[in-house]
Amino acid sequence: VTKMRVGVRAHSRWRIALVIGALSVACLIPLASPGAASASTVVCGGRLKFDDNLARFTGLIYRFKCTENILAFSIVSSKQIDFFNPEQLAYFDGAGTLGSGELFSCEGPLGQGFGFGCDTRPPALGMLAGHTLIGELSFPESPCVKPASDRPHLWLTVTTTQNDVNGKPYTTSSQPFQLGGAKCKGHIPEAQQAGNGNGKRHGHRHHRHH
Amino acid sequence: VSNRLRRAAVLVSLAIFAAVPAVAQAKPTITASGSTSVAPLYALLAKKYLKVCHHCVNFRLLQGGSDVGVSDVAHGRVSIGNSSRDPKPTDPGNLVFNPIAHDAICIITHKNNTIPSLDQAGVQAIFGGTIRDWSGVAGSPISGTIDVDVRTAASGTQDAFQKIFMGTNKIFTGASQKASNGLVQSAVAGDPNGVGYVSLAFTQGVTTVPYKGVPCTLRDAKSGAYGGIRTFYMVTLGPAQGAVKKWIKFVTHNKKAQKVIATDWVPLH
Repeated sequence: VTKMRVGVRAHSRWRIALVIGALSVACLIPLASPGAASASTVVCGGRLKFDDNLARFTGLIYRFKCTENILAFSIVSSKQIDFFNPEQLAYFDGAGTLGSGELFSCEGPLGQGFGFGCDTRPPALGMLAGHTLIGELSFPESPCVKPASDRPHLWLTVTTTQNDVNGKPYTTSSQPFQLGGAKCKGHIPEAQQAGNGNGKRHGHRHHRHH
Repeated sequence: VSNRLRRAAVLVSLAIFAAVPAVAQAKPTITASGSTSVAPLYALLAKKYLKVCHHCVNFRLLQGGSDVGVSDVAHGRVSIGNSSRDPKPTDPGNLVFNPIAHDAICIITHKNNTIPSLDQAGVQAIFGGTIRDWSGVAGSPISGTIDVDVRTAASGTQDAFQKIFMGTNKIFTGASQKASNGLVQSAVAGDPNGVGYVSLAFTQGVTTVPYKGVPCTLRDAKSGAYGGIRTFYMVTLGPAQGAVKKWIKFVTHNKKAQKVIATDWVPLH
């Protein structure tokens, strides 16, 4: 019986190794083959921070940087946005210098919108790889609601120029990159704190009722 | 069967009656395009209006420059064309230029190039290309070729600058044309030899040059002492009506709107 168990275990290990090997090869094939290259290789990262100058509880600064030059970008929110800065001014390189010729004009709905798009107006070049874009937006109400899972999420997509297998450039859109959430500590309005407390109580009553 | 049919008919009628007010109460959308100088003010005013009127309308903000806004509204593509220039004789007819605020146009240089003052002849010499080196500009601490940054032809700021500062003098053909205030600002901020002109709201990170001895500040713009003042307009096709009329009335008359305008611009009243 012990021999049989050992045999079965050894067989299982072989099968797992085989599956892992096959998956690895399957994953590597597209990387090795230029014809199946991904549409966009750019990677962007960014986060949100409260902007007390714009609006204490509802205004946010978003900032992000990417691994490649970008021509345009869009920000999409899971909750309504009632303001965005239509012209982005600050593009800092690693040394903290204001980038020249890197600017986006932003357009989109105000009030009922869930995002906006920003493009480059010639002769502006867009934003260079490694530079940081800083912009402003705000929500109609504080995003720091409870539970935390109900807080808004924001995603960024960027437009870049990639090269096809023949080295011919083409423009494409990236995957969405989620922006890191703002820290709510110190930015929850008192009224909302009380409101959330009431909400919780209502919630309990609701459950009891059922 | 007859009763069932009657009931069905009544239910359908009720559903239709219920649906009609829902359609009638749909929020109007006010779409605006045009001036990149007006856009930051427009967005802030829209935010305030939505709060005051409890999201009574939807806004959509596009840009492109004053000429684009004027053309868009004339062709009925948008409800409002934002313009940072005065009406031109060549503008299409039946347009109403509703003034909403005043704005200062500032001459800007790099933060290390502080110039005590420029008079109109000095501005014309720099932007007209008569003086090409900073050593020829009185009070400039630097020397070297002057890099002139101006706005593209569709810009209202360009039009207003020409009218207020340049008069009949032409702008230097070697000037670098930029599509927005922010581009001029960032170009001058990153170029020790740069000079340009922008709306007052875009002067962070650069030095503003006093014009005729008066600094380009909000205080001097409000007092009327600063000479480089132009008007912002919301342009409509014919007199504004309905939701657009209410929106423009809010912008021009409401105290909260005037408070928003006073942050970086000059209220009309």
